[in-house]
Amino acid sequence: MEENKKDNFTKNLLEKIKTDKLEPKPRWQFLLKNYLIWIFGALSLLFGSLATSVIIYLLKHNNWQLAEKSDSFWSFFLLTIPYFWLLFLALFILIIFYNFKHTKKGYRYKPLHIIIVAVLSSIIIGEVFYLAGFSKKIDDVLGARAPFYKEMLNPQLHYWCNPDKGRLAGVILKENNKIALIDPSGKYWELQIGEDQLKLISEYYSSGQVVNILGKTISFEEGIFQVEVFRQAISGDEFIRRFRDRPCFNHNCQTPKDLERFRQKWPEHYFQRFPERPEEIGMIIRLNR
Amino acid sequence: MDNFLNKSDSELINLTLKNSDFFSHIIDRYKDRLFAYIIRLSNISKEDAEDLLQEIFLKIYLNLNEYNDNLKFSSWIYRIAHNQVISRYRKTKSRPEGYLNEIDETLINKLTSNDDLLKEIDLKIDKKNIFKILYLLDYKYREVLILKYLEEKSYQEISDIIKKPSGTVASMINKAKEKFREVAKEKKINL
Repeated sequence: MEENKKDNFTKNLLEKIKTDKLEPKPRWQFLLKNYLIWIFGALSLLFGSLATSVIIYLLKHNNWQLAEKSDSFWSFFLLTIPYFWLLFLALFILIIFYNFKHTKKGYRYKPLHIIIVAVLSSIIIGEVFYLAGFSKKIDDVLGARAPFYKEMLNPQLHYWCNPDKGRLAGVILKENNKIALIDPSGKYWELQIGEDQLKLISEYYSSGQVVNILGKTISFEEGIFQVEVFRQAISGDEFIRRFRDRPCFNHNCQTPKDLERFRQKWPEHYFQRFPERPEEIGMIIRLNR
Repeated sequence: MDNFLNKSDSELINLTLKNSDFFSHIIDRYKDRLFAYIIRLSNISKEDAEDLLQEIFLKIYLNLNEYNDNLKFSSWIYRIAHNQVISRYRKTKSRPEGYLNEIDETLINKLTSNDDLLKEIDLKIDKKNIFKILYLLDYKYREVLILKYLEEKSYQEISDIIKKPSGTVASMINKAKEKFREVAKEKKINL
């Protein structure tokens, strides 16, 4: 810049500052912005870690030993991995990345490094949350209440509720020398089990437990299923037990009005075959609480 | 006056926060450097460059409280200049405006005060043609070459100005040098 222009430039600029009464923005605004970036980043890490803890929980209790007996390991793997929670985690990793990039020195780190550190931190904190029991709690709460739980939050259940493919999930009922199952849709299944297996199941399982079963549907209409493999299910049990919260399965379910409400909610064929069942199931499950 | 010349940037900032008149010392310290940077980067007319420079200094003044000592003050104000140039570039969405044709020999010599770029690229080019080639490069490549060889900034300073990791800056500079050579050969500019 030429000398006289230089002086004018400085003079004009200072004049503009004075005439427009311009003031530097207060420091607290910048501090607040920085704190908010860190707070949102930390919250995203917290939610990402909770999502990771649920992923760990679902993967650890995926009954992997039954994968060998399914069509193929990969189809079992692809149909049961928790996509929703993985997407949820990916979303929070992106938010962590965005926030970290916008911290004062965030730009100094390579995006890949930030993402790796965010994923590793989520896994480590997620494992701690898993060990502390948070993941089971989250799965139980969502299983008991969340809509689309089976379809989105826990694809394992979706995989197991497929009698056409020889897979069943539900709550078992022990009746004299028989074992029956009620699936999440409320359908009653009479289980055909070999004598030795029946003895073992009768010994180790009790009514109200949630199980995954591999086998063969003998008759869908009649609700008869032949059992090959029988395993306790851990994740999603609160979803399968949702029907317990219907009136007749509550402790105070004693009145005819409650019974009538219950009848309206359950499939017709169920009552045709087992007219006495509601009270009986209610009693059995109450005993096992 | 000497007294203020010896003062550090941080001291001048603190004084400015108390009295805006002291901002004149910051302006005087940096206006020539920033003016040259703007011209080198965007090839706009002197008048437009002055307007842009004024916007940059106003932004610096308004955001003085954001600055902290973790960063060199010069890097911080170059960053603001970088953002303003990009923002103007996006607004006008135009290629450089051909101010280059009006640049006189003295200014060319000032703008290319050292020969590091030519040594690095190992090309014998007339100084004026450096800009012809630079303006044919993508903005991101042009800027890192200007910061490294004409503004003589270190990798860390460039990283702080354009807000990219140092490693990325190093690879951008290498890529930019390759592009510079390619364009020079392709256009047969004074080889």
